[in-house]
Amino acid sequence: MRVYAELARRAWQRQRAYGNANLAGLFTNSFFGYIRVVPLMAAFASRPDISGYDRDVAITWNWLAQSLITIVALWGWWDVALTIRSGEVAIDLARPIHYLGYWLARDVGRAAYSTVYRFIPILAVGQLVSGLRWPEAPWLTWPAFMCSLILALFTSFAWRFLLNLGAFWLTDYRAIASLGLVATTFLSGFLVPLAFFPPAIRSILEALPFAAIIQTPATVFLERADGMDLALLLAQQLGWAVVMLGIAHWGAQVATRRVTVQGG
Amino acid sequence: MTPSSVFLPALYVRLAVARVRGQMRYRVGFLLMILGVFVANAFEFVALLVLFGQVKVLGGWSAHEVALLWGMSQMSFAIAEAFGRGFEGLAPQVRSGEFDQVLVRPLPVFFQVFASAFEAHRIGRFLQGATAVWYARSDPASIPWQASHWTTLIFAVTTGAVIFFATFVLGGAWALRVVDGQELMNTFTYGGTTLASYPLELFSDPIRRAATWILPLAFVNYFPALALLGRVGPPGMLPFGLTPIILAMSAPVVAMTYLGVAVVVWDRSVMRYQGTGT
Repeated sequence: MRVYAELARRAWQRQRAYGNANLAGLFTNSFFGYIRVVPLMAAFASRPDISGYDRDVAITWNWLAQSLITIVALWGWWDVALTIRSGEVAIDLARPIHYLGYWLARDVGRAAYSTVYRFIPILAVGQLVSGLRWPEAPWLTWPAFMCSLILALFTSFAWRFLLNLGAFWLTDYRAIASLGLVATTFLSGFLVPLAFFPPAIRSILEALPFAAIIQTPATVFLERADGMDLALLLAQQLGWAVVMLGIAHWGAQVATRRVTVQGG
Repeated sequence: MTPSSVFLPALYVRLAVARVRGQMRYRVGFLLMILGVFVANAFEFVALLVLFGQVKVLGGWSAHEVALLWGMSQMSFAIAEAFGRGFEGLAPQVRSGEFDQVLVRPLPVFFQVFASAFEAHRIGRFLQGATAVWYARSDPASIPWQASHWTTLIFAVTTGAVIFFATFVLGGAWALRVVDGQELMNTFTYGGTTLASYPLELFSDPIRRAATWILPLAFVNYFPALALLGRVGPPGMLPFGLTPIILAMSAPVVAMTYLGVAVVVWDRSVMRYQGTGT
């Protein structure tokens, strides 16, 4: 276990080396948060309630989505694919640690850094720019949100890991895999809350694993589910995290069995 | 002679054609990239339509009207991206020291960076923008368009492309001075096109001003779209009380001035360039 903690710590430090880039990224995230919140606020000028979201809830959803995406890294994360292309994967596979666990530990370190240096500052910007709706039952919501956040990270990690594995089969994996990630920004409720979709589509999207990446933690934070609903929501998210990690593990085994290291 | 005063069209065309031919070698990969760019933007557009499924108007603009802004912004940006990629991708070259090689070659620096990339697959974004304009035109409530409307549209998209291209040049100049600033430039390039995809009048006053007078996004599509849609915009939105048509017609002057400024800033940055020591 200690080795994984160490890997996570190293990943955190690696992020810290890019201090200025992180600051620039924070500025970009905040600016996009602003651009996206403005039309949303305009939408609420004509009606007070959209699918159960009032103005404050929608605004908070916007800033949450903007900040959550830095934790779940939907903008791209190709570290695994790069090692496959370079051949470094051979060394990683030779290490006496679990291959999936190795990458998960590193991603947890990266995500922890993003939580402190991106997620929290972006929410702070949101609070300054448009004011946020903070949990009304903090003692229940914050712990539930923490759990949801970790499960969202695991689900997103497993999905990104699977997309990266495409590099084992395809040299042109990047175009397809990028498409997979872009689709995720739509299907996860990042671009628009899943609640805004027509009911039939909404129920399909909520049943997919992608909802567990953005929509579920946002729903928990916004206290759109309580009591039994909340428990069920988290159970569903846990289910997806386990299933997706399972598929990722299986995918890694299939992929590495046919590994042929590229020279050079 | 300033480094950017020489432009070699014939050489540029040869390089660009060679580049496109190279990209076409992997036809499947190339088509997938076009599709990828198209779909990526289509998702964002559909997300906008989902929002419009819930409300009739955003700040007085219908879905079809916003779609016109969206389409114009995307088409302009796609052209700028295809031609401006050399400036956009400069940061890693500065970091690795590769850019120093550019400086020792007996060709203008601006031209070399400009000619170093041409991304034909950006046509995917252009086509998505065209789809949005097609959707905008499918509005039964809109006035029928004559040849003059289409000319205005083509003019505006071209002008908008120059404005975005100049922003990429400024981004390149920025990369020469600040090595870690890549993501900050995304705010102005990608952030700019996103901002221009919505009615400018929705945004707060400082942003409106900045998007009119500093980075002239308003001239990319907002003023031309007002003219095309027969809208006038809220009070105080139009500089000097000019009509949208006059503002749309003055857009090329604004775009060329902005490009001129960008090139001067670029030249100065090249002169002052110190490298990273790698």
